[in-house]
Amino acid sequence: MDVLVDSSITRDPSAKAHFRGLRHLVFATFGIEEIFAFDLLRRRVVGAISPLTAGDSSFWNTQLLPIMVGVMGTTVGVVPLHSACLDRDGKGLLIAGLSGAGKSTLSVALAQREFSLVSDDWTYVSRDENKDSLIASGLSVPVKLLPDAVEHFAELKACTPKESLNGELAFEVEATKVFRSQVKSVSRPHWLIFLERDNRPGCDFIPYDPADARAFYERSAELLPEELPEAAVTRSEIIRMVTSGKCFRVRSGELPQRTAEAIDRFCNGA
Amino acid sequence: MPLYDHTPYSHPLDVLRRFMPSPLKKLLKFEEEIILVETNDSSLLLPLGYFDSETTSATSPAFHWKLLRDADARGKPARATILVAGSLLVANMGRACLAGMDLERKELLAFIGGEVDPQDYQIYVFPVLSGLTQFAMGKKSVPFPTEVAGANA
Repeated sequence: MDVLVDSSITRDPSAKAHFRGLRHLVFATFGIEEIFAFDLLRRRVVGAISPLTAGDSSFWNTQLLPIMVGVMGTTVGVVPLHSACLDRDGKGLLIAGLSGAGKSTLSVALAQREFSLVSDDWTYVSRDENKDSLIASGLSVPVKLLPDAVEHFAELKACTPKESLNGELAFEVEATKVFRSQVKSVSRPHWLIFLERDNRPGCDFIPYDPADARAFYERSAELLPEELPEAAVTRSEIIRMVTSGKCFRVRSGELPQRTAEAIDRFCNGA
Repeated sequence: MPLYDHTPYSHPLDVLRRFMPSPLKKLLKFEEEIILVETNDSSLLLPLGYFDSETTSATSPAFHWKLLRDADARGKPARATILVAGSLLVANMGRACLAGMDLERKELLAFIGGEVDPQDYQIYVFPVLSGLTQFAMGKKSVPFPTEVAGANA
């Protein structure tokens, strides 16, 4: 990674990140002058930023690092899965679901119980050193909750939602500070659930065919260019491993805390 | 008023717009080399004065340009920042132009913003793309056009 820190470059702190990609190149710009370019074929990153940005640890930790892992991860065997991850006693619970299903809200509710929060949104899955099992990692970034989450978590009343990286208005809070939750950076995937909202009360656990689970992840994965065939193969293999165990659909019409209670009981018995 | 005519592009699994269609293809001669230009906007092919002539030669192109008009990228060309890292050259002119030249693969990949009009393109953007290409061809010692210091931000 080569980064040019140039005092003639100005920082625009209000600018949102802007992403574009063609073939094996991906550009991320921040304002008009600050840029990072990712060469996925050669696993190389080059950037130009202002001294202010260079000295801003929040930029590196909450913006560039997640972007870099998200953009380049697949080329080095780290597959981003759009799933939350929680840990209990070294066992990871992956929560998948469509956008808006309530993964983040449920994650916080679980993290207020016996689970430690690894990630509320994107989990980065790779093979361990022995290649026979998986490691799920989070990036220690703030939890992102939509404004209506305040209905479920009184702690959020003291916080103010703001525009997030993708332009959504959301609370972005430190789980440890706001919810006093335990957090962990890694876990080992053990349970996999697909969260579905339901209008009916109750919380049902329905076995999910691993092939369907695999298809869900494959369908929702970012399109990869033909220049990166190995990345596509690696991703499919990791998805196959993630979905090879027992998978369940969780249909819940309950509040997040009640759903978390049901999942807690389920994991105790599973 | 639109500066070009093409179908807006949006795909939930392609947020980077890697797969934005570029149906227009043209073989052009530039600095004695043949370039295959692929684009979604014919106005990006307009500065043909920069090209010696269009060629119909069957020779394989020595370079490949992929120029995409990016309707959602707003802003006029800013001062060009050129970065060199190994076989990769990057030119950033704000959202008006993001370009990367892969020296090994002889590919120029660029997004041109929606507010870049033909004049901006000809005066500010095209010289940068040409400069990157000339550098890649070994016909220039610096990868940017010295006559273009930058434009209005």
